[in-house]
Amino acid sequence: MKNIIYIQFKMGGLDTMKSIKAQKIFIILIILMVLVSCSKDVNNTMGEDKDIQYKEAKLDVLEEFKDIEFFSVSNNDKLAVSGLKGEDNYIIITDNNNIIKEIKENSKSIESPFTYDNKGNLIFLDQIIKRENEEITGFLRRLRIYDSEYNLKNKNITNTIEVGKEELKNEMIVEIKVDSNGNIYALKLDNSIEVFNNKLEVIKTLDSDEYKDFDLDENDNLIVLNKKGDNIILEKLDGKKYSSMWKKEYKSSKRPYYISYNKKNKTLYGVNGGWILEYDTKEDTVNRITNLGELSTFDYIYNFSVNDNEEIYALTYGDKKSRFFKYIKDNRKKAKDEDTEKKELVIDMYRDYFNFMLKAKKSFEKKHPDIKITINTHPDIEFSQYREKLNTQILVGDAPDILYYDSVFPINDYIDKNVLFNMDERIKNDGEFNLNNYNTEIIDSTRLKGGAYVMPIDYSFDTLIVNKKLLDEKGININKEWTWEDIYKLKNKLNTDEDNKYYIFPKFENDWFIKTNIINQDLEYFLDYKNNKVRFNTDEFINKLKLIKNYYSEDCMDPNMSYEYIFDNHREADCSNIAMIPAQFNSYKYINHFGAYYGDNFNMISLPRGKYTNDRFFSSGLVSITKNSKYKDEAWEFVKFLLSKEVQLIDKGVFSVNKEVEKIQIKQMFTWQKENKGYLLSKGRYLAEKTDVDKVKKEINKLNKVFIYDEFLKIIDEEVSLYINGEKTAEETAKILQNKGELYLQE
Amino acid sequence: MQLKIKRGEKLSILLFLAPSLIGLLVFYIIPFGGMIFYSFFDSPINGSFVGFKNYIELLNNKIYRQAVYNTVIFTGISVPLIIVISLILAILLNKKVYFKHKLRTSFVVPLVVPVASIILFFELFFDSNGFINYLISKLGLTTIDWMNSNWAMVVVIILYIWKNVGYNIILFLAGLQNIPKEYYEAADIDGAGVLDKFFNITIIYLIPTMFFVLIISIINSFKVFKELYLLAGDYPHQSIYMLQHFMNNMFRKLDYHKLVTSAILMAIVVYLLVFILFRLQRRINDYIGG
Repeated sequence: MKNIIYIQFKMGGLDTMKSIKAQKIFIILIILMVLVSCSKDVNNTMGEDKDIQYKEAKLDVLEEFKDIEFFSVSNNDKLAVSGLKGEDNYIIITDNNNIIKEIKENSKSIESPFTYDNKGNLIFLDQIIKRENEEITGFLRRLRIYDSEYNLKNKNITNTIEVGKEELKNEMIVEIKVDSNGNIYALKLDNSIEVFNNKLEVIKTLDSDEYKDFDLDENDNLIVLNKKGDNIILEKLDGKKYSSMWKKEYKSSKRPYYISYNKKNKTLYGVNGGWILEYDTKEDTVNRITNLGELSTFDYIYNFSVNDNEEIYALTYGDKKSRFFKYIKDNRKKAKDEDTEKKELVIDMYRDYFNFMLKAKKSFEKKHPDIKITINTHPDIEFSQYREKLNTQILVGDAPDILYYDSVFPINDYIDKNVLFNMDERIKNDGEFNLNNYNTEIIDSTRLKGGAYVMPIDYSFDTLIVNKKLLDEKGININKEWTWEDIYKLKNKLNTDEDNKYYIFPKFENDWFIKTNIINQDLEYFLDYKNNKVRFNTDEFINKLKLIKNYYSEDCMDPNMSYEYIFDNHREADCSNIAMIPAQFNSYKYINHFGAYYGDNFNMISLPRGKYTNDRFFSSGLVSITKNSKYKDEAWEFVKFLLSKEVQLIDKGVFSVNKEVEKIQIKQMFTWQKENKGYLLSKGRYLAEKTDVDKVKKEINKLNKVFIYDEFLKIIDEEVSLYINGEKTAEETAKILQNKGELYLQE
Repeated sequence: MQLKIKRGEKLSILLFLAPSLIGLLVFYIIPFGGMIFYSFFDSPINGSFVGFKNYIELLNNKIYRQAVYNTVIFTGISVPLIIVISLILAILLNKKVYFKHKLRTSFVVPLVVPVASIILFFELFFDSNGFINYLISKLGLTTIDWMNSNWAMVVVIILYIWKNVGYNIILFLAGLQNIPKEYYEAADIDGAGVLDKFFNITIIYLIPTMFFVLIISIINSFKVFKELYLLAGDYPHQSIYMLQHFMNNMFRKLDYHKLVTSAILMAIVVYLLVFILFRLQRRINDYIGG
């Protein structure tokens, strides 16, 4: 042993030298490791946000033209739009803010989509209805070509199809594009694509999918957007064989609603909400270019094009009219200094549907130039991830000032953890805020844990549309307080004779209705937080379970008619042998929809309230101020602003809490109904009357509790499903839920 | 012996240790310190100082005590059981057996099977309409609702032993092979029986290995939570509701004060346990080493 240590010491000198060398190598290795690991993640499905700023371009030349509803951009950036000047329809061709040509449209065409081809010719497809003795016999399609000097070239290329009035709608062409061989691709209203040659003869019809939009690439291949169920599929078809070259599926916030292909840059663009997205199919990334919703105010974009310089043309719809915009790149750097003196409010929400919050922000900032609002949305992450992200932010103290969310958040937990600010004091002491201008019952019903921690901005609720005719025939009174047991008894009361089979409900493809509603309204009784009691292992719960099972097992639901089908097809779905159909009421306009279920017979009953709690739920978009916000006064001003007439009038398709706005919305609905009577009747909708509005109001007055999701509902749902499948008895299920509930409540 | 550390070497020692030290500091020590700090507040967000109230409340919480009880029972039953089983199997596998290597491999395989596959099979076996109940009903007995009754503990113990026995066998095999054969031969000459040899040679010389296996098995008994969570969810039957379930749920419900308090208590207990074990081991080593 001793010798070994002696030798070690002797080697000491050598060791030191070796160790210095080793040190150097080691340091280099560490630096390399750090550099390599800090490089960007290559495998991103969401590409980087392009940091290009855009601004609206002034289109002075187009100011005298109204109602611009169609446009096309040529390869050398000439813009052709169709618009109204005075009473006449014109096609205006501009080049960098100079009008080159104005063509007066006087053809009898019902709609003439047009497009530029690759050589700069402007091609129109006129569609003229042919009539014989007041009867519609068909369509005359006529090709109209203007050369690059805008002189009419050919005129007599026509194509006639024989259709009746019913199929006319389906044959109408809404968009055309021309390839380098002069072939014309046309998108029809029935979501099919027809390919014509330059003599307007049909070469190919593509109707196997539901095509929503299309464009051509530089090799004359066809890029299509087709809808399959809830998903959007982007597909490239070969220009000659129409076989699929590649296919990509996109969901939710990455899916394009319209597409545009730029042949020079070989880039595919799509639009989603207000966002312009760039799709790189080779690298499989989606880049966000800009949110046009931040630059202009509109509801949605329905046509767009991106030119060689990445400038964007967009046709938008908002405020009941279409508006045309051009956006050019803004080379100014973002002005930073002027913002440091402003007070900043940060709003966090999952998604900003209809750009509603953006619109509110712009108006508010104009009124309060000393306040700057930043809206954080999270369109690219899953909802559960967003919830976790928000929780983490709150935990580390980086909470936003204002939260806008709905019932699927752990709001009660937030209140317990002192995250939310109680607005009670502000409501009482703010002279400008008069609670009586708003629906006080709804606002009262969103009080949680004894305080105004959330403020409802809007609300919606579920109800049951009843087949009054059938129930009257059978002598059943609908004007009473229905319970789930009463509804179940209908099964026998309706089927009194052997000839006709009657059902209580339609069937549900997405099975939630019966399971959820029978238990949800009474959750507070079975999982009693206040008294720290769990009551699942009781006769009351077991009876509920048995009732649910009865609904499923004994012919209560019509196997031939589904709830989803009825919602999509209303009048065409024959519901005469179904007693009740669930309906989710989001606004008064839905009366047009639900009234058609039973052939102009609009009657409803409320969903049974909680048997032991008397709760009648509604859903609501809620806004809260966080407790550690530095600008609570300003945040309160913004909350008030969200409830004000200006913001509540922004059409989000939900009921408003502002009483005045509610009256206006009802009036607007009746006006809209009168103006669009023909359209509504042709679609099979029901025309609402004042008594119907009163019926809906009566239901709204019964609502008494905002629905806040409780995690335990998911566990209940799983166990109840096992019970319905027959894998467990009711007593076993009750016992299991009792155990789980006790753990959950008393942890 | 004191080794003089030369100047140049001091720096290189620190540099080589630095990555691990920094990692340890940032990911363990500093957060742990933060946890201890937070455990004296009632909420990490806008909380106020409450002293030891969290600890007292937690110790009075019926569900927390249930979780601790279940964890202790589980570890207390399964760890000795697995040590005995793996020791016996290791001794058997140490002898001349047919397919010795294949058998050894087959015991290690459960460690590398993906968790999802394990869950699939355990569900197939132990569901109330599963395979085991099918066999039981064929025998004419009443079926047992495995996961929703007190038998659930049995399922978890089987899961734990099945998964970890391979690891322990390998450790024991290594320990067994370190015992010089001369001792056994000497004992044979002295006329010792099988049991004498076992208790006086094998066990004694396996004691260092045994300690290691003990600690590893205790750690693995905590790791079984992964499979258990996938099998039974957030709220299993109350007999298998473990400490980790409690902590997981507290995190999800934003009850961070309860979470850090229970984690610190658990850390203290584990620390004491390991401390005692190491002391014991040193004593016994001194006793053997002489």
